Amino acid sequence: MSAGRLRFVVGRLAQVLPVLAALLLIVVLLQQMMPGDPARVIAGPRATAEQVVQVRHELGLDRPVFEQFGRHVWNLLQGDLGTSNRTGIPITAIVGDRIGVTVWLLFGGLLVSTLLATPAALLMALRPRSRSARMCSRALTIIINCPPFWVGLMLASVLALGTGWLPVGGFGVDFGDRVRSMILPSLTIGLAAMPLLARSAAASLSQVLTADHVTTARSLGVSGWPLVRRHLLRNALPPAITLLAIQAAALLFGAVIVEQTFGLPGLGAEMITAASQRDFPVVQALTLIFGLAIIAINLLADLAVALLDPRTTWR
Amino acid sequence: MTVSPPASGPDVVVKPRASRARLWTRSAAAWLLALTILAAVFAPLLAPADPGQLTLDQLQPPGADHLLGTDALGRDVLSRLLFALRTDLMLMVFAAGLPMLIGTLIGAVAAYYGGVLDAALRWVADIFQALPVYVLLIALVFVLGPGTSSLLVAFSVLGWVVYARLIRTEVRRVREQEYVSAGYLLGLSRTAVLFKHVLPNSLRQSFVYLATDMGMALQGIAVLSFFGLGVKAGTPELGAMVSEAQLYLRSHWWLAAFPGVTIVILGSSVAALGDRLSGRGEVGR
Repeated sequence: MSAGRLRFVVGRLAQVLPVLAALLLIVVLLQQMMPGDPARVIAGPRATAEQVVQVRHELGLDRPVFEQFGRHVWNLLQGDLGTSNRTGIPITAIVGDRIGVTVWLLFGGLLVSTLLATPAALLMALRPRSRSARMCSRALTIIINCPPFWVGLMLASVLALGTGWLPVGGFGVDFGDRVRSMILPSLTIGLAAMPLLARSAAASLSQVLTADHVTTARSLGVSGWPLVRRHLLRNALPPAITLLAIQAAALLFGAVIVEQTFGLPGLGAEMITAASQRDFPVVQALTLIFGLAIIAINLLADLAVALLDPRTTWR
Repeated sequence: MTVSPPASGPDVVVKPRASRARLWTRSAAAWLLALTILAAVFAPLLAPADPGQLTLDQLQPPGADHLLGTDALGRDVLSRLLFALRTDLMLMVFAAGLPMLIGTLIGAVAAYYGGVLDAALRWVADIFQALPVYVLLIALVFVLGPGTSSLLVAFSVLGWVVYARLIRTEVRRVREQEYVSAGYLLGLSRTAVLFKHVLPNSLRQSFVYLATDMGMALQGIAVLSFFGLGVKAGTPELGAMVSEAQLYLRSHWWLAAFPGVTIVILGSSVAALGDRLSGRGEVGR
């Protein structure tokens, strides 16, 4: 590994630390921001004064914020995310149970958005002045403004209720049912995430198109699909990986919405349910997990780009 | 009288530049947006019924009595839609406008005066950039409790950073311009130069982003209300209307369709105007 790349990797890793600290601080501070007494809220409306005091003591809420912060980090390092105050189940168990659904949904969404965005991006980059490219751009503006929860409901009412081919919601028991119950949710989040991907991919493609080596290849008579495959896509790969990472954030939020809409037992649905039932520890832990996931994805993407592109250096 | 264009080549046709007003009136999006705003402003006059009035005419299909039918509680859907438009339009403007105001002030002051302030802003912005904004939005609204004020606080806390970043780049460019030096030579104070000359010339990009951001804010408000975390229960709001209609999807699909289509129209017309502002509307230009 060259010195420039090594510096990039070290610099990028060092950059993650303050972000992690900020995320942890926010997650701990969320508790402080709750109006009223967090211990009372957590203990529930029927708790007696003694129970509230006990909860406050158990959760360390009677200690200074710095100590709470330290304690939280210490618990996390030991793999302890706390327990749900609604069901009393350890949050690590909830996460273990539900993370699979969310991960599959993210892959499904990624697949759909990539399949939809690639032709749109190629069209807008290769024939930017054509009528169809303009129509495509307008369509993207409209799609990006379609709220995913509504698109999900409409797809369900047309494709599931209308034809009976697909389940409207829920998560089947056997493998075939499960795959079928993932189709509409994946379509929904894929559609929601696709416009951004198509726009940015088109922008980076058209940047590559005007590069000198592409002009040279063209002057040598390379055109059509060989040009796209050999000279355009390969050079558009590093930016595409960065795009995928940006995608991940959008998809994750899409997953939160879509799981709840379709009644899939994933992490996002758990977060919304916990939020509506004021189950604070679960919301806190899931905020942290989603945050960590996004930070990790962005880090991995940047490191992958550094590996692919020998010109990478730190700033 | 016709003036022939300068002969700059056989193929070059010089088109007269469309006037600014012409640019806007030719846009379908501008008309749609104007129509929605008017409908929201005059909702009390236009609505055929009280949006909160419960009747026994439940789940009526669209017809002569109720143009868009009635919902499960017998409320007139058209009236609710008009009042929901009011709620959403107001919330949308403030949920994007407040972060813009806060971010622009912080960003402009930091970039203009530079030094520690600017370094601190860059540091905070870098960290915010890496955080999952939408997930934090849910957590924050949850913590603050449902209601319009917590929505606006949450959007402001999480949204100002992008505007601060945008204005920072612009202010740093504009403050090097000659007319800024000219301002100093004429004896204006630093503050006066910042607010009278630098800031107004740095705002364009922020307004372009504002258009996209308003669409995102609208979706955020709608989705939070859809989950019961946004506006208070019973308030006419588009996302909440979709949520209420969910149970009747099989027999009364239009109950969910109308408010959703309204969100799409409102969001895309604002976004299309933003595209036009940035000159992105025509792909190849």
